[in-house]
Amino acid sequence: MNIDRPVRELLVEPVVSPLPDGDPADMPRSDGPDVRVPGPGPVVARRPDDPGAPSPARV
Amino acid sequence: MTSVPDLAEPVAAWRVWNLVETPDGPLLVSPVRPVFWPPRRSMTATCHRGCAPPPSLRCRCGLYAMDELPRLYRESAGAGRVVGCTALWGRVVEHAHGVRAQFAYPLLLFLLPETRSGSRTLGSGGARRLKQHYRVPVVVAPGSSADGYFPDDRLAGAVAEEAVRGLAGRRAGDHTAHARFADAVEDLVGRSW
Repeated sequence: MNIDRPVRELLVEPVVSPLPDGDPADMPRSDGPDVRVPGPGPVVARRPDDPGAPSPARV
Repeated sequence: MTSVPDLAEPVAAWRVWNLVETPDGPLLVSPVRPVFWPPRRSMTATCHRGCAPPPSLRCRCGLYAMDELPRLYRESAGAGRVVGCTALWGRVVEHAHGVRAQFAYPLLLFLLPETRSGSRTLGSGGARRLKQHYRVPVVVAPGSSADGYFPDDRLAGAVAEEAVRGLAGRRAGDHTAHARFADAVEDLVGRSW
């Protein structure tokens, strides 16, 4: 799976749990404070055009 | 990186898994490492180089997903695999053609016709077991790349967008949200795939 070059880092903390049982207590949080900043809307990974770099190892 | 969240909704992107049958039910397994994605719990990235928490911009660790389903299909969606749209969150590194993330959980799974677990071909029964185990929609795709079927990028994007946009509604049992998601999936499967 070649996802090409890294562009930027984001901190994503969903208000609604993506887990099927939907219990926020079961959803691990990153190490930031308990602050919620609404995002610009649904985010679907989209790419700028740029072929290139070899794919890193991944899970 | 700032500790204030940049986004309050998960990123949605596409990836593949291998499928392994166990006595407890079918498990999604990474195609590149012998690591399974736990049912009903978030998959959490680890890093043998010590990124804490993974992923970091300068490493290769993290849970991978691609932004375009057709591209993923061409590169990775071979026989014996499950294709799906997954939610990704926590620390996320955005790449030119996808993302690496700290946490993930599938939102929708496509069982390809040639998807196999061990020596058995999985059909509708396999889809039902996978759905029960991970509690996400599982669709048996009408064809695979080997059959000449390829998903449409625009319709796949609509599925990924609706998977995230309607998440709160679907969790709350909103029938309209479920219907919108089902319609988007049907468009993708029925009209392009």
